[in-house]
Amino acid sequence: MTEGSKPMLLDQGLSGSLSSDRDMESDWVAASQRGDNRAFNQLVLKWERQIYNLTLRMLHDPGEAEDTTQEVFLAAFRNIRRFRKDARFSTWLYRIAVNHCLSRLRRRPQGVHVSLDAERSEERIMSRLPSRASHEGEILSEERQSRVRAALQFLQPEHRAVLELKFFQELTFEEIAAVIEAPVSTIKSRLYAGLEVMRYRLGAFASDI
Amino acid sequence: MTATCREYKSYIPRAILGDLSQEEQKALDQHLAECSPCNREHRMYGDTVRQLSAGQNVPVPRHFFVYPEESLGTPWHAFLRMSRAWQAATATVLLALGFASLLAISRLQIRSEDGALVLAFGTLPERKPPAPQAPQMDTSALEARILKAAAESSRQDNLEFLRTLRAEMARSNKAIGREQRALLERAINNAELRMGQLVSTTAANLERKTDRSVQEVYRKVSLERARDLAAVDNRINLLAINGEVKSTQTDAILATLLQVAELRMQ
Repeated sequence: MTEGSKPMLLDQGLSGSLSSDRDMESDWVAASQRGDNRAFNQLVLKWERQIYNLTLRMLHDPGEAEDTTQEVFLAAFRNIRRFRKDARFSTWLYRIAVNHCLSRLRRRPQGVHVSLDAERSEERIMSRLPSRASHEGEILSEERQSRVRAALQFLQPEHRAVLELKFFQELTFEEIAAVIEAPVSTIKSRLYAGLEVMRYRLGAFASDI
Repeated sequence: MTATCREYKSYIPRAILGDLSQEEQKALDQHLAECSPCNREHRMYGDTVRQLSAGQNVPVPRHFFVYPEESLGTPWHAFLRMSRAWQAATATVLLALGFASLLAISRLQIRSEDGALVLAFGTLPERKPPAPQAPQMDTSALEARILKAAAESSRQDNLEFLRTLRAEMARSNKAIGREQRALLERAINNAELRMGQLVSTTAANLERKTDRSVQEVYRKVSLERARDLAAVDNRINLLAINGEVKSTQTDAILATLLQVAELRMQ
């Protein structure tokens, strides 16, 4: 995972006496459950980048991804008291995000977002993202990522969610099973099916790596 | 691609993700060393996974803070934010209210009464007796009663008058002869009969003409009665005079006959 995907801890005042990210996150969750809005916003700062990129790759639309990310955090805030501390907060948050994305994808007209709009959506994504490419290598990297995002749109939403959690969020099979709330065997089955589609879509560009 | 290749092809993605047993991995490695198509397939899967894993997260376009006013949400969200105990208490209260409402609605009765809706839970109250109204003047009945009373009074007055007259006649009859008495008797009977007819006619007329005022009717009855009484009085006077004249004539005839008889006897 790159530096960009790592959560940044902005509020050092809250984390003063805590030694690790996990402990700090637990404290923020506990404070949020007591109604501390500031503590919850620390959780937002920590996870917003992962959640936004998950929704962006799942929905392939920057505006919709932004709205969905906001909805995910709002839903998390409203239900934070229901969160059980024996589970990981990230697992719970990913579950909310994946369910929101799948819900939006199910409401979309079938097929429109896959083949016809793939390139157009990617252009919209590229135009809205801040351009950080300053030399040829970065431009190539951005093109490659654009290709991956476009190829993901050819997957079924459930398969896309599993690939997203496996390759981009780097969760284990068990963690993905906990997020999706399905058996590990089902997760593997979806992962291999999705990977096969991606191999056909991205195989021709293997030399770029 | 052979049947063996197809079998090993299913191993490739699992091998890429480290999901093969040692035996399966060993068999696949042996096959890949001998089969170039499968080897190429394995390489392409590897490249695909590397492309996926090389994906970077883009920066967020903005922060997604949740503000207190955003978190208010709907009543349902407020309910979801409650603790289990409060949720149970709220649900119990709402269920009780719902049950009470249903019970009330099931027992609600509505009745339209005097242009207004009467609502009651359970049995509707008895209909109120109509408010006592100011007694209405039954003018026609009153007129009829007055007319009847007037007629009755008139009749009694007439009868009393006739009784007095009869008594007077009886007294005067003692002084007059049989024929004169019979004549007077007939006149009185006629007068009585006519009087009765007059009263009946007047009463009938009064009943038919209920639209006339009582005073006018009464005045007419009184007038009729006075006129009849005057007529009867005149008649009686006439009879009395005639009786006296006839009595005088009879006496004169008798006196003449006595003189004639006396002259013959002389």
